[in-house]
Amino acid sequence: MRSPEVPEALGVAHHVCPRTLRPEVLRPRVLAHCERLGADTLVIDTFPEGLLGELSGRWTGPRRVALLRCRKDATARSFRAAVDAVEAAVDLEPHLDWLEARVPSLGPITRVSATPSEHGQHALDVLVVASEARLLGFSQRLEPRLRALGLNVRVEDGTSFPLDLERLRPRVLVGPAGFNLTYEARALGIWHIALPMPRSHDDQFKRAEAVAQVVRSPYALERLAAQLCRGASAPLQTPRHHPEDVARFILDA
Amino acid sequence: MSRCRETAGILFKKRCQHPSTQNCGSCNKPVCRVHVRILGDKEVCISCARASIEDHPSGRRSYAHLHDDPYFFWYYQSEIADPYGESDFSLFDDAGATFASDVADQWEGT
Repeated sequence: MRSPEVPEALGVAHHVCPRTLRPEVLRPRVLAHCERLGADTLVIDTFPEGLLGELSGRWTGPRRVALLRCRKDATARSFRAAVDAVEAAVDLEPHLDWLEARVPSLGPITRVSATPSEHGQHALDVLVVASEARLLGFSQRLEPRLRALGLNVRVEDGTSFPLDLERLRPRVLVGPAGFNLTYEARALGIWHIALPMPRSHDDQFKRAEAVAQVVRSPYALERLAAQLCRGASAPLQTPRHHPEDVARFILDA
Repeated sequence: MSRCRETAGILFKKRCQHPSTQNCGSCNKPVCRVHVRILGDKEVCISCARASIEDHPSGRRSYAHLHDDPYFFWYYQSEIADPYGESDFSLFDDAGATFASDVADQWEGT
């Protein structure tokens, strides 16, 4: 079924299945789609067993390449079996030390193209990313308080995503610790004060502790934001990779 | 590099053993990162920040980012209304290995 909300992204049609669909119903649809496209490789993001478990068990489709991001249930037997079952897998977050299975490490990939030095002057002190409802009220109370500290602040709600951090160029980012936001900020040399959001599979707290700055109260956040904005240094970078690196891995796998 | 000259402690005065990283934006004494606070557009030492709060009690609300700062604990007891609510603090409550362990159905990315 083609999604009416996300008909296309990056020039690729998106097909969305209802969450209530049973894996045994979804599996033949995936196989049929692969066959129709003449695909020789199925690239799987994060869930080698399939979002609904539709890829687990005996597989008759094209070879599977799994791009693995940190999951809270990494020690579960079902997940380990799924990683073992795919023809190739790569760890996109090896620095989080989350994966027991021995797979090649690639490191996080990001969409950003500029380096921190190219990133240049910061256009903004603090960018607050209020991408979900529980962050919106907080950001509205935080914004005037950061302004009172003399900081240039902007709040982005969930209407303009994906965020273009290269264009906004904040010195400090306040927001969730999802994969894309966290590593894009790091790749651009932007300080990231993380507000980890609870997720069923994604471990945002683990990522935040390893890659971003974690604080324990709104006041501590205010102090740290002001301190980071007045400091001259940028955060240390994690090794960055471009989508081309992943493409090469997939083709060579 | 000179030593931090701030003597203000959380409970008692004592000499700081850290090297200084900058000078206080008000009294100009050398201070370390631990003993610097931001007031308006200045970075000042703990003593100057406390003095400013004492001298301008009506402006305390502007300094509310120091509300849970242990160096200013006595300066803020019941003095000002907390601008943040319970839902704001809950954003910072959950942490560690059990983070979001009760979440069963939140798949969104960021």
